[in-house]
Amino acid sequence: MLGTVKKRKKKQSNGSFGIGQGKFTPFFFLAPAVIVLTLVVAYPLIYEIIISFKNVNLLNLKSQNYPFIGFDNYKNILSDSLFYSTLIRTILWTAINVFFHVSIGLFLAIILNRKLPGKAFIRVLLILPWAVPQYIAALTWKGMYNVEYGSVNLILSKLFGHAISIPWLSVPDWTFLACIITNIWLGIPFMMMISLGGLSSIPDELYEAADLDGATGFQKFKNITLPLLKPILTPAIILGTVWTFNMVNVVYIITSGAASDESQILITMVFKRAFQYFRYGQSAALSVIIFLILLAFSTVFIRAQKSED
Amino acid sequence: MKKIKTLMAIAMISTLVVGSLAGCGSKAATPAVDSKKPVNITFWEQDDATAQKTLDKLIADFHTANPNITVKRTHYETEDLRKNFTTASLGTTGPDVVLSPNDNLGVFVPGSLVQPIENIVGADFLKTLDPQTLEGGKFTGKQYMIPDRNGNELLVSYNKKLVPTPPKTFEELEKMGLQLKKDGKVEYGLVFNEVEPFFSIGFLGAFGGKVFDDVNATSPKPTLNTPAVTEWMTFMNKIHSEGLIPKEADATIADNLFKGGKAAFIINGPWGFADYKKAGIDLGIMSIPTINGKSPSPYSSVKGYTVSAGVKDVNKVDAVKKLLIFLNSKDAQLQMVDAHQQIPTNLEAIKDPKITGNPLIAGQKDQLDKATPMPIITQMRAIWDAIKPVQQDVLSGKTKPEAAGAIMQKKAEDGIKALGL
Repeated sequence: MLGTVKKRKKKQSNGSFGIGQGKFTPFFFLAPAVIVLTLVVAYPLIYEIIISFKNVNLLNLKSQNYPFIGFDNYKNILSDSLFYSTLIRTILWTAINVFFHVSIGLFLAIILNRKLPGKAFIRVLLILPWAVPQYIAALTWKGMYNVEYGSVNLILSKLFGHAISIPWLSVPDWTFLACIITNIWLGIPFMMMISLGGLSSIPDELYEAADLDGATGFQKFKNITLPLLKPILTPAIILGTVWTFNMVNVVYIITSGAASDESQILITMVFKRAFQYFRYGQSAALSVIIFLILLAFSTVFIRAQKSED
Repeated sequence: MKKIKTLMAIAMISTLVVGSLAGCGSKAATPAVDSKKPVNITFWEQDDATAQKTLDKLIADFHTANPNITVKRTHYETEDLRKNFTTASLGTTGPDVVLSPNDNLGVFVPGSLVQPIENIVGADFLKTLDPQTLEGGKFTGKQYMIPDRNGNELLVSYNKKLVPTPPKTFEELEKMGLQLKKDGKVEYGLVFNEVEPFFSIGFLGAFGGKVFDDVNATSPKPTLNTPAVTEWMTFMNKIHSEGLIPKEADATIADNLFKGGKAAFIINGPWGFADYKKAGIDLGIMSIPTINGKSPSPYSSVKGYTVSAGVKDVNKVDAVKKLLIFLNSKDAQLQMVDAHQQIPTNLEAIKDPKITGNPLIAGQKDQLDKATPMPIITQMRAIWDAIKPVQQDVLSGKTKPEAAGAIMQKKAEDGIKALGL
């Protein structure tokens, strides 16, 4: 209604620029988003790809005059054994994290979706990790991991009745585990909220019908809940994977600046190369490799989900 | 109605266009300084909380005296400041004045981020500052920084309640610390930040080691695969395994143990004094005592002001000059000393009874004499990066002290190669 009124008004006054009619109208409405996306996504991405083929370092950074060196940056990275060991660690890191994010998140969502005393309060409590800034959360966890004074070891010691002193922060393998625990804690609320949203949109009739057919709880979960959650969980898992793969904060803080090569992931390697060693070209190349890995994963994952349907 | 809308749209678009073009336009160089024209100075620093408060007060005083100049202060931590300044230099959003330690010159100068300071403040003003400290603000022989304090050296602070007579040697300190621990008076005899090698590298000096063959060479080589490094790491391993120092400690834990009276000695810089006193510690300071009769040599460095290479406009240069001269006047530097507790650089301020009569500042003299000026060449980043994880592995028992030197050397060489130097 309103549209037609406006249209007529515009036709009456000749001051209109032709906006609001014609086949290009949708593009005008899209334009702001397209411009913003071009500026904040496409431009940096293209720039990154360009400088990944150039030698950009501290000495020539400001001159903005970067020599083209072809695939040298890529060759350097791919011929470094550190890249492969870090890649394996990053995949491990992402897989473990996302697995626990989804399974624990879904589990909590299912519990919260039932009738529960003090549900609102529990829900707030469970979302809390999300509300704390990552930086603060990671610093707090780092404090809790101290071998003698940290609450993690103190609680473990109380639980097991004898002194436990796990060197969370000084032995790289333990540090890596410490990062994983912290990040699982941080990531659960997101998956929980997404799953909870999905669960509440599943009609109760389906469960009632299943009850009539005598389905067990597990059968209901497998045949109703999971398939109906899939359209919601698929994008969430992809997002979660990308975020986890590229989680700088937690790893960087808990490992005290990714000091040891044995507890860092690819993205902290990019960060270190770019901002501690000023190898901007090389870190751009590494970022492009990460981008391609994640692009490949998302494509394959979405395809697999679709073909299952 | 329609017309108003069209007019508004045109007005807004033109504002936007003019606004965005304003930044691009090269301003016509006017040789004369217009001292009434409003100038904004962006000022970045990485000082401690108490010093930030003093800086705010000084900036307010400066604004009262020069109402046309507005200084906007932003705080960054060391690493962030360096990273952000480097990145910001590509655009126009960087700071005009930066207050930071002199090892940043190893990044700022090769990266052409800063300009020689003499162009800004003039040679006459530099004569009002301590010439020895000015050396610390030079890079490749040119003055790029106005140092505002000399020190940043590590020394031992002790709790007088636990340590009535300070030890003369490290062996005595070790014995005292272990005894106090045995008596249950402290949890650890000595504490310091065990994560950052900056806090332990002073011990390397006691074993006659240094990290570069020649800091002034065109391409200095790391010298970490040496008997001195092995001795240093063996020493670290010993004081760690005998329980003189905590199993794990970063700056926060070391500080908290000392402030809570749970550690007798702490190795930290003068920046910690104010905090320890506030915590009610009866504070004494001393140089890090001798190991086997030889003095450890912690790194000393200066901190000071650098001016961005982007400061070109005459009015801005003039405003920056006024600000730097104001901040490094006798009075302003003395106010800053209250916060950072280090020796100032203004020659008149150094002679002030407030400095000569302050035991916490005068007490640093001896340690400063024994300190080594921290290498500020870019390659130093690779050295820190090489030592940090290996020291951690030695302390956790993963790497034998004898093997540490070779690993550090390899990492440092790779790191220097990665820097492209």
